[in-house]
Amino acid sequence: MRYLLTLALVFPLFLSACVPPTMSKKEAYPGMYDKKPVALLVLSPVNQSTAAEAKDYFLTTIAIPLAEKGYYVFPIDVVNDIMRMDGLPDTELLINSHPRPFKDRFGADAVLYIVINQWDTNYYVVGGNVTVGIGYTLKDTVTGDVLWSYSQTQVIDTSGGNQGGGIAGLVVALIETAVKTATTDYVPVARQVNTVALGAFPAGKYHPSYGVDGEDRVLVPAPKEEAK
Amino acid sequence: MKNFILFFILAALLSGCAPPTLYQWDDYSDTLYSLKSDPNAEHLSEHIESLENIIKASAEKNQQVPPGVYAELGYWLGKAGRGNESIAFFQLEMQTYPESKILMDKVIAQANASNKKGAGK
Repeated sequence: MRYLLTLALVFPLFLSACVPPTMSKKEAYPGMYDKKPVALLVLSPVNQSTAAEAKDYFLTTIAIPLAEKGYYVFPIDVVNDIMRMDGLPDTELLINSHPRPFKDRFGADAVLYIVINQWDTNYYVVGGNVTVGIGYTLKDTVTGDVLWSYSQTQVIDTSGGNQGGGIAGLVVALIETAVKTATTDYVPVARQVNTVALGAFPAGKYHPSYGVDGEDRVLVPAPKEEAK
Repeated sequence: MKNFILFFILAALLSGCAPPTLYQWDDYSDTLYSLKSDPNAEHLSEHIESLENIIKASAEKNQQVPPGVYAELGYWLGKAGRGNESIAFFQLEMQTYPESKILMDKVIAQANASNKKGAGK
């Protein structure tokens, strides 16, 4: 009986840890397997949030997960410096043009365009949250085709959680929420967003699974409408 | 005994979902964040130290230095007024990752030019 009970506890864990299969990675991201990009160039994000510092902060989080997927990631600050010196315009002006110049100028196989949709702190009467929403688009520098895209939003609840009653309890909860919201860092939230977004990203040349993960089954979420 | 087996099943499941990382990263993300949020000499030298630690730790673990780390070290050394040390790291980046050649040729040429200018003063 106890054995069964333990199994009953372990089985859902198994299910939750590994996503239900829906399609193969090759079917989900055919361009990645067709073009086999190795060298990825990450452009400075387009910032549609109200937080001016979001661009720089987000850029500190993206190189590691991409490199860990087995790709060569151009050093972001070095690239940005060269772009400034060469007089290349901001990503806002590049996002709709062909990425070919990045092949010629840097040797990039693909360019990652990032849009910061949300980087906000929200307060409401008895609660609050920190929200980071990112859209990613990877384009082939030769054909200009989209090889992969994803949109992910993560909300971290920062409600105080004080259950005390009355006005005093409410005030305590408000202060708790305010403190917790103000001190909740965006960066760990951004890291979570990257982890989810890159969860099913095919492995690149420097990863042991490179070339052999095409038949792995992945859950590909239906394209979602951007929240606002 | 059954618990023992279950423990192993669990361990196998957990390790299956969290594979070891390809690279060493030391405090990379944190020191870069500090440098971006408050760019000053102290944060710059902390980030440089973090990059140097990555290179050391990678050698110890017999792992490849992560992409961009040599190049970034060269770049930040230049910003810290140690441009004469930069070029060696740009070359290491190019040797480790041939994909970086076009970019590294550019930054090496640039570093040569500014080192010459600095020496002429």
